[in-house]
Amino acid sequence: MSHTSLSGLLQLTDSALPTGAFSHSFGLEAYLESGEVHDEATLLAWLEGFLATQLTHTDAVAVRRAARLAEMGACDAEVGSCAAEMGSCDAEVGACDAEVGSPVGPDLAVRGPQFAVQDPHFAVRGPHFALPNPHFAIQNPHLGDLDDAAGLDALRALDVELTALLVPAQIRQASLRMGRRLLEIAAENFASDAVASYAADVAAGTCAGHYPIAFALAGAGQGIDEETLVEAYLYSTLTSLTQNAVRAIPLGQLAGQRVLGGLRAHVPAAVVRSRAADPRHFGAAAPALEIHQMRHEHQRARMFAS
Amino acid sequence: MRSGPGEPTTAGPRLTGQLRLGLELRAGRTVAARQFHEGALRVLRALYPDGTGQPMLTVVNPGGGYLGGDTYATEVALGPGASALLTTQSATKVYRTPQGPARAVLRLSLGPGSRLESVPDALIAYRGAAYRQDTEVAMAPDASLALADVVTHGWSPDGEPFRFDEVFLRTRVAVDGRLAVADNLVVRPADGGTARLMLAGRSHLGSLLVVDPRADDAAVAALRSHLGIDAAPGAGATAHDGARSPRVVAAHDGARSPRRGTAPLAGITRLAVPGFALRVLADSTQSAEAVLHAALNWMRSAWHGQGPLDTRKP
Repeated sequence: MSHTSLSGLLQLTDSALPTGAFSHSFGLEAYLESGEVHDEATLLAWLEGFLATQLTHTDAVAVRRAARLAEMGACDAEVGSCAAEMGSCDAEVGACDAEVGSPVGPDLAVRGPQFAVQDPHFAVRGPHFALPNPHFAIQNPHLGDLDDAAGLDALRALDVELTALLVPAQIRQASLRMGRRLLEIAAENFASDAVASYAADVAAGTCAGHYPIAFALAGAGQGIDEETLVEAYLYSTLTSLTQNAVRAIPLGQLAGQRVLGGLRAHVPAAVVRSRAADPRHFGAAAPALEIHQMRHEHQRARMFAS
Repeated sequence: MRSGPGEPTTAGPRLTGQLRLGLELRAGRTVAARQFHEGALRVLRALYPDGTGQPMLTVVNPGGGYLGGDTYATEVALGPGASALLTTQSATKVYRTPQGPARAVLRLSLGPGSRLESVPDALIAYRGAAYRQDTEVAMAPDASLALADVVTHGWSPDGEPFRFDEVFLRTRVAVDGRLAVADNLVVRPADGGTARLMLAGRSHLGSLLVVDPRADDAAVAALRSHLGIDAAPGAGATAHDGARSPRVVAAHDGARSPRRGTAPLAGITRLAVPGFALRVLADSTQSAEAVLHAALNWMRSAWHGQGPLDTRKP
């Protein structure tokens, strides 16, 4: 990594960067309310759990996918708009996913004419629906509409998918608030074609504007590689959460640093897990965590917006 | 003959069972205008338990349980205005699957103004079982969808809970051709699958996904209050109108739960599109189902003037 990209990374992951991270607990506050998290040891255990679930299966995979798309776009910067390039890279990303994921299996690799879905993240490729069956003909026009998903470029598809799989409302809203804020900051400090294109899509309403995508595009534009970006994202998220918990529990500053020191040992494994994850597991839910994130919506005394 | 892994598959392997239903609204009643089944899946004769013209369709697996390598496919298409309740005859039991995961694919197509309630019995995964379920829905913006699921572990010879290998439920809902809800549940007990942020020490996970134009913020707030979710954990019985949801009260009392006094842990949230997700962690099938059914019955009453679910098995 060059000195330029290191300083870019430091600015991007600085907890002073005004993305609003200080006002989000991602469900932790509901565990403070119930008393399940109340000291240094219980905080460390909760953060380890958060890292192993939502952060690894959703955030890290989203950062990874967006970073890959941005890198592919940057390699081919002379051809048209960034959005178009990312669309053309879709197939390659799909191929990468196929390599790292566990096999979907050839027995599920056939698509039926009534259900032809081109988006690799959507398709259930069941042979059952390809069997010619004279007794049954589906005439629902809404099924055909799914083909339009193929027209969306891969980054737009990732943005839509994040909105769809961030099920707890406050978690979805946190991603959008922080994402849109980071795009504003990035326009002036981490400018790149990819950042500008995504910001334009958000302004036009084509994309919602998610934080992991904005983070990846801003970082990739500074020449920071995918693995570093994923690790930086995970560590900086844990840092903000720890700082928030130090205020909320409250804990001493030294205890907060011990928690961070303990978490640091787990981050590289989470980076590796997110790389090896089955692409079909993207966004895998942690049900108890989600229930707490949902219950935070109507929690009485709240310091945090999520 | 099975094709090799590298070959393009044209016909695919033989399915263990498949069922296809085309439902149409005719003279105020929804009927199966097209029906096809093969192998170990069929549907019982439609019952009309109330006067609304909505059939209860009970899917039957004569094989009794899912084994390794089994693949089941169910496809239901609802024409304009059609309405159906889809359920099962008994719990879906997945036994050891050394030949590879048992798979089930459910494809639902909801035309304009149609409505589908899918309320299967619990999925029970036994020791050494791997199960993958894909649910794909394509629906019109004014259609109404309710997908319920309950998952738990089966008895194991050593008495230890959660000895199955994997349960993977993947649900994708497209509204008017656009992906609106994606819900993935992956439980691998040997790989942190029962950790505190996953199942919080409970044995049963229930989920209800609803996409419906009526499910706005006000409806979700009303439902949250009805279910007693906005009260402190364990205080549900006193915090809501018990007369309208007696089964939730029972669940909160822990009367039917082996761990008396442990109320289900439940949460409800608005989706990005009109609709909500309700999740519940509980200690028994009855306790998880009580919460899901209370929500289904609230919608039945408030939106359709319909009586409560009665999926008692024939």
